[in-house]
Amino acid sequence: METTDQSSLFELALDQESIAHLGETARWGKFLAIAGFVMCGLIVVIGVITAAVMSTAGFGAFSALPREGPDLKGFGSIFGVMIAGVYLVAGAIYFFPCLFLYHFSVRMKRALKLNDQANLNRSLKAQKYLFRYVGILTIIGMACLAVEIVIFLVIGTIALTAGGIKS
Amino acid sequence: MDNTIELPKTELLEMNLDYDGGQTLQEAVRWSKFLAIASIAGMGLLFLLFAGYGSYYIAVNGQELSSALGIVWLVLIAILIYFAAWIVAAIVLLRFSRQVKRGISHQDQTLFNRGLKSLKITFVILGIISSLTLLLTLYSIISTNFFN
Repeated sequence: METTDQSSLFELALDQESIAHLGETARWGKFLAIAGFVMCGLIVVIGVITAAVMSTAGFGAFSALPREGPDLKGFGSIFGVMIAGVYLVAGAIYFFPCLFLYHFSVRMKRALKLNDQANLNRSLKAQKYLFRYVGILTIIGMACLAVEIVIFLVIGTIALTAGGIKS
Repeated sequence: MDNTIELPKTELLEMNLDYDGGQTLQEAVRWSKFLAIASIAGMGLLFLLFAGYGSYYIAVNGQELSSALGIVWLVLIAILIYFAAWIVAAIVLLRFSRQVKRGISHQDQTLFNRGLKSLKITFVILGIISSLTLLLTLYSIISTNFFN
């Protein structure tokens, strides 16, 4: 009984117009997802190359520091690994929304082609995951920004107070 | 007299938004609304920041930049167009959220279709932005590594 009541809540059909819109959305979505995968690959490759160059050439390769100065090779390799780590994490974070978008597009295309309700629902689920993932990332980004602002204000206030006491 | 036989469209396409699909879409729409509002606010701030700081920078350093002033203006305008395109995409995404949400709650097929059209437009704008970004990234990688 409950199922009948629930299904009667959603009686919107996918008519010709909505099918056309969803088909084009899926095409662009697939393109966006593939472009995203390429960007992910580029991020990882750039990170690995940067780390390799810094590890072999040392920190001096990327700065105006004189070569005769203290040996910064060890610092360069640590810094290189850190940079590679940041790039790899960024690539991994960027990979998942592309994957969800790809799933949405491929499943939607299949659903429209085969007139398959199960694929349509799975495609909508992938779209939900995409929006949720990016939304949660946005919330984390906003929280980090808020923390940065607070830290900046606290440090600024401390510096101003210390300056005031000294003078 | 018109002899063409018009097939009933619903007979060909039997998919509909069932309970599961509707619930999923409603949650997707909630998140997309949040994303759209956050994007409008964030990109709007960046737009204002770049517009303000860019024009201030040009006004202060205008005489020093006399030969490169045209390029600086071009870069500034390109950045502003980029942010404006993001804002437009976010506004259309917000329209998608509102229309689909209202379409589902009122069981209004026209509103629902309009919402899907807005989603399509959002994806088209994002597709154009991302292809330009990808081309620029590839160009900058190639130019820094092979032409220096």
